[in-house]
Amino acid sequence: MNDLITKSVAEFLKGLPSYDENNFARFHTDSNSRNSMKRPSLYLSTKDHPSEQIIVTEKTNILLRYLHHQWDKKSAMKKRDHLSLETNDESGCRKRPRIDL
Amino acid sequence: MKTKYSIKQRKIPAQNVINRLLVRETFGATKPGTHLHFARSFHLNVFPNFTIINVEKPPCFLRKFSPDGHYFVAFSSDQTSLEIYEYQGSSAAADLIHDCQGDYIGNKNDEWSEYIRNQVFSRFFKHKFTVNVAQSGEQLNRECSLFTDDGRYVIVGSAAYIPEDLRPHFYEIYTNNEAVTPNPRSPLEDYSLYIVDLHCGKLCDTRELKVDKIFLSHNQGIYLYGDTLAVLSVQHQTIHIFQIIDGMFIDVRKIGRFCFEDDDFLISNVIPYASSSTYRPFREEAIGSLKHRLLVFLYKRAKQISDETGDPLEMRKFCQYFDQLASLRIWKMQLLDETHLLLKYACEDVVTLKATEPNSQPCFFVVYNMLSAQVLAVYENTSEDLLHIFENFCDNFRNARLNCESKLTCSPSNNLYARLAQQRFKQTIVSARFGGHTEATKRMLAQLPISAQSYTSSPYLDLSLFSYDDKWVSVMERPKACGEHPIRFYGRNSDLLKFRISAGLQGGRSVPPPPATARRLVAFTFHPSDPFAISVQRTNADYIVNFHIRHVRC
Repeated sequence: MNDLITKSVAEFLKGLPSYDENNFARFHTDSNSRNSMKRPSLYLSTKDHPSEQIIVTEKTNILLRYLHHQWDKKSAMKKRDHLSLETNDESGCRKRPRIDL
Repeated sequence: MKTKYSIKQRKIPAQNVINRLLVRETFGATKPGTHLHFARSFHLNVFPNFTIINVEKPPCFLRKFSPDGHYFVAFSSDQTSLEIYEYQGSSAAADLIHDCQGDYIGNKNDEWSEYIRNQVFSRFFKHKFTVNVAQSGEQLNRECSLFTDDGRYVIVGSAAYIPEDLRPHFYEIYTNNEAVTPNPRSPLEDYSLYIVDLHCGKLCDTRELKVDKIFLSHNQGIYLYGDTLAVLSVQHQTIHIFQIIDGMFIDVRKIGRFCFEDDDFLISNVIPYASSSTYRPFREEAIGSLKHRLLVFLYKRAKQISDETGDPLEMRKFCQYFDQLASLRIWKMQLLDETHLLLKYACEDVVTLKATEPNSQPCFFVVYNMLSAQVLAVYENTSEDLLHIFENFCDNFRNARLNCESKLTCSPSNNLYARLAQQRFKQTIVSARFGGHTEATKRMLAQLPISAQSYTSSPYLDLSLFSYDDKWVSVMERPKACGEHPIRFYGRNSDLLKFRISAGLQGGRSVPPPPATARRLVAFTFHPSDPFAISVQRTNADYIVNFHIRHVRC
């Protein structure tokens, strides 16, 4: 049973770079200090990519955002009602029924 | 024997300060955005556990710490000058109380207690300046002070009675058609607002408001948000808006008869004699601009509801109550930010303090945008919507820590325990005799608008850190009833007794006991961050000052 497991693990690791010691031929443990001090080369982008998102802190506090949101909702409803009334007036009769106060 | 249902004992987290420091060093604040709460948790190890009773203080009325905690202001005994003290730190008297045992000292008349009581004030507070501000006849209101966010300036207010022989002219009292009829029990006064530089100890600027009624006590009639100062003239039904720039009052606008600065010019184009000195706005038939905007908002709302439902009831109601609505007057106000005001309207009897039960009377809350002169919302004092807003956005009404990175204090909006206490209070009113949901809503909304800088940011009153009885002390800096026993503070995460604050006079008294009939009140002033608090106990005319300080027992 154990042999089966080790065999399957060996098969699984076959072909992976860490399995073949030749893949580490250029790695020297006794590399001199001058070599290790050398900076790795960096990739510097020459194109300027504008950031997709700009995070801005909302200046108004959450309470006033809520109140303004309520106000905007009311205003939108009023506008919608007003427009629907206008379209009704154009299509139907010009006079509206009187509502006694 | 452990069964499936046996109660597991809750493990108390490590209380040792060394452990806390190690955890902070290793992990820091484990949850993002909680670094401030994590830092505050260290106050569970350092607290004001020792009381010095009946401290000898200079002849002055102690007021408040500046928001940064560096300065302490007091009013001179004649209430004409401002005393500025520099706070010397919470360990300033450590050597003085080094050998003291127990929870308090100063209750006995022995030499050592006497010496400590005489020395301790000068140890904690170094006198920097005495700034003479009020002129002859004026008295500073000792319950009125507003600090700017940077802790550099303080605004104080004074009032002077108008002498009988210099009675103001009729049109000085009634400057517009919204002006209220003064109540003889609360006569008109001449008010002055002063701005004092705490760093230099000098009076920077003054503004006078003559023949007026402004509620200065507990900052009710004045509000500072950032560098915007609003002053409510109850008599003239006008809100004066100033900007504080480099210690100067800069006039921005007046809201009341007009909403915009050029309204006066527009009126004078229509009524040619409106700009003349003989013109009396009190005689105007037209409704004032601010009141007009309120009435238009209510009319539009009534019309919209009537149109939606097809029922003219709401419009009829508006017409029925129009006169009552038109007779409403501004009672209180607060700034919600630099451009929005929360106004509280009530009937004239309430505003002029004639009504005996002001909070039982109907009133309206109006959210008003100063820049666009728009009324955003109107709520009655029975509004469930406003109560919901107040409960969920409590910190935006309190504005207690505008100078801090975290603007949140311990409030029902951000603290489970504070919310629980509020719900309990609400439930008490609901289930009480003559109570109910409407009554509870009224009682809760009676707190609005909230006076500026009336909440402390002390970590020792943070209900997420400490558990205490808010009957005796609370985050709102108002006098409370004085208990017989010390106030106990328990650690919230451990339920262990952390410290006690003795507000009353304990044991063998160095002061004669108060008469049994006297109502004993105590006002607490906590340092914004340090383990230091002052309690001033008032019994009739006597003031007893106690210091609550940190003491490391040997």
